[in-house]
Amino acid sequence: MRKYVVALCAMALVAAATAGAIGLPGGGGKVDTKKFDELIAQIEEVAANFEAAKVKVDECETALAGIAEKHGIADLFGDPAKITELKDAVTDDDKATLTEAAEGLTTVPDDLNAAVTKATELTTKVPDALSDLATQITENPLAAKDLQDKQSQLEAGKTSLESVTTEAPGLVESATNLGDTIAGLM
Amino acid sequence: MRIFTRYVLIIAAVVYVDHAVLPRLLPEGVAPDLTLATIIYLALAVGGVAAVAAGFALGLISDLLGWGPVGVGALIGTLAGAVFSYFRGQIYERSLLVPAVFTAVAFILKKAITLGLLAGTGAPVTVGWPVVGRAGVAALVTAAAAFPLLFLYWRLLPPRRP
Repeated sequence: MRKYVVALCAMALVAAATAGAIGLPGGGGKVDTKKFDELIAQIEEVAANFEAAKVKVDECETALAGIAEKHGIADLFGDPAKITELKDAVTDDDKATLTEAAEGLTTVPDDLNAAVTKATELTTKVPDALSDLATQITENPLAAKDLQDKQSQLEAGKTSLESVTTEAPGLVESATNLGDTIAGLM
Repeated sequence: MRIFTRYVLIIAAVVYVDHAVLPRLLPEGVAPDLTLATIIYLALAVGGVAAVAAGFALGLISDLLGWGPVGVGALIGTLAGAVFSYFRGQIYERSLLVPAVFTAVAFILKKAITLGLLAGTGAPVTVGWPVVGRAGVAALVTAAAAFPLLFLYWRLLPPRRP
């Protein structure tokens, strides 16, 4: 009987290895995370677009504040009178710099509105994906580590989507005001 | 052929009850392991290669149905079948307490291996004596309840004594 016991124990180990290799639930093999990866990639793209728009607004604000400072004008954005003062002071070189900076701003409101639309759409998909992941972790605990990584990425993505939808309207307003200010200086 | 049919019937019934009925009736964490109790019963009642093979088959089926890491149930089932077949001469076959206690011990071993494997892979598991102990008590109660029923069924099988 001993040889049968040894053979069956070996078969149990082979079954474990096979299950792991072909990714059976409970086998601990590589799980298919394609749909989660796609969602995470879309969220990252939205977050990257939002950050890029934010950088453009920051760069433009910095350029304008730098020019104002060069002419001895501080706190430009808090006082409309100082904008009039700056308008009289700007040189052609300053105008060229501001024109270049303002060109970058033209697409920002549209980019941000598109980011908000996409973020709203993706936000509705995240809870289902998280619930799906929780189910898969329960059903396939040996592959839980991979799935938990995706869970953390999705949680982080959810937070960044929330900040996109919250911050974007203010940033659109800033970009529009900044564009108007620069146009007024020309 | 008749014995084979009875094995298939036992396996099918145990798999169905263990997978579909008991989880609905009992809270999570105290789900008993009727599969292991049946493997040990078969080893005590029938013994030999048939019991070892049944232990492997039942263990593997329960693994594949998602009750544990694939291979652990099959390995424990095979070893339980072999160990209890070997000792069946020393264990009074119609005693309730001894096989029930051994079932609980085997179940705790299986639970410990499963939890150890899961914890090793970073799976979200709660490992601790309360978990293992609760599972052991559940296995003891299951075995105590299941053995009389299985003994009743056993009377229909051709008796094989060591």
